Amino acid sequence: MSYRKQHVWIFILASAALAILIGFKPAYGWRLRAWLSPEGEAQTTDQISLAADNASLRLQLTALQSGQSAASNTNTADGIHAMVYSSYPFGFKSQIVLNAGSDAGIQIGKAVTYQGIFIGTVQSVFPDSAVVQTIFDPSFKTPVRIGSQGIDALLVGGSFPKATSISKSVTVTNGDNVYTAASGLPYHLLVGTVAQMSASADDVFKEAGLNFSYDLMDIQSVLVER
Amino acid sequence: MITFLAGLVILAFSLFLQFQLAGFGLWFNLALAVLIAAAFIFDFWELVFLDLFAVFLLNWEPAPTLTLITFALIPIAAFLSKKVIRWESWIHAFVALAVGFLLFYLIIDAHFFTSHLITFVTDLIVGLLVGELVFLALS
Repeated sequence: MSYRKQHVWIFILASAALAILIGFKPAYGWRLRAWLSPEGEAQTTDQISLAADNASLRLQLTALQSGQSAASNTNTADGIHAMVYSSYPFGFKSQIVLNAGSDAGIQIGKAVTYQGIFIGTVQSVFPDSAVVQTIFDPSFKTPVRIGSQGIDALLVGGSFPKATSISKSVTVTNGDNVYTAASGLPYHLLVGTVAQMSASADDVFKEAGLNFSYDLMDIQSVLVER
Repeated sequence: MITFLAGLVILAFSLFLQFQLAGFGLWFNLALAVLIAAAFIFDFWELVFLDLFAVFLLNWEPAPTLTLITFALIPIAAFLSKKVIRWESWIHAFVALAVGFLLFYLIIDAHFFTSHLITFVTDLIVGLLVGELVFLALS
């Protein structure tokens, strides 16, 4: 016990140093955490990139089939490129932190995409970083449309996001694209593709489980709507 | 000092495991369990250091958040409860783990708690096991 009293100042000073790092230089913690976190094991970066390209091309095809301008809807040239710093470390939410903030022109509510695929919206902004609420957050909700017919649905986030509130009278097939249709967001950004259809819990609507061509944990850079 | 270093290594490993499991969609609050158990082993400033070490690695945005403040305060509250309640340490640690996890869920997102009860129960069981094992190993 005596060593503890002798060394109490070491712990106080070390705690103060950690508190300063947490408050003023959190990026050191993010880097250390990135080193401890798993890297993309299931897919290589090239595989993810190819899958995302494929999904993006499918979206442009859908847009052309439905008579809309794919070029205007998938134009990402005027976005802000940002790297993913870290992510929410518990299961309650799904958030990622970007290395660009209000100084780079990022604003709250703007769409965030990964290789043309919508992954979430900016929730809060700091001078040099921004927090993005992803579609995998349980509280995420946004209107979407499905397939070339533009069937209305509501995207509900979670570990397994779903397109809900789909009318029982419409036909949705597996592989149909799901894309954004919310005011305040660019129209026709790909979200995912329909994986399987089922009836809602109250049997009033249909809902669709979705497939995604990326793994959120593997994303290293994104594009934020300007 | 050896006990403290062992505690630090166990905490670092629990954080590593927590991050790895999260990559597979498995969310267990292993670090919280280790810190609550540590509250019954270490002195106040040793616990504060371990607590801040975990916060340093778990912190994800450049501003104080309710999640991390709650995470940091629960082990401190467990430590302070020793001054008020005089139970057998392992029983006290067991109760503190259960109450700590319950408070963590309720304060961070009560709606998540009610809608994901199975997630909470699973996390709690794993937390109780890990916490008690760490307590027995270090005490």
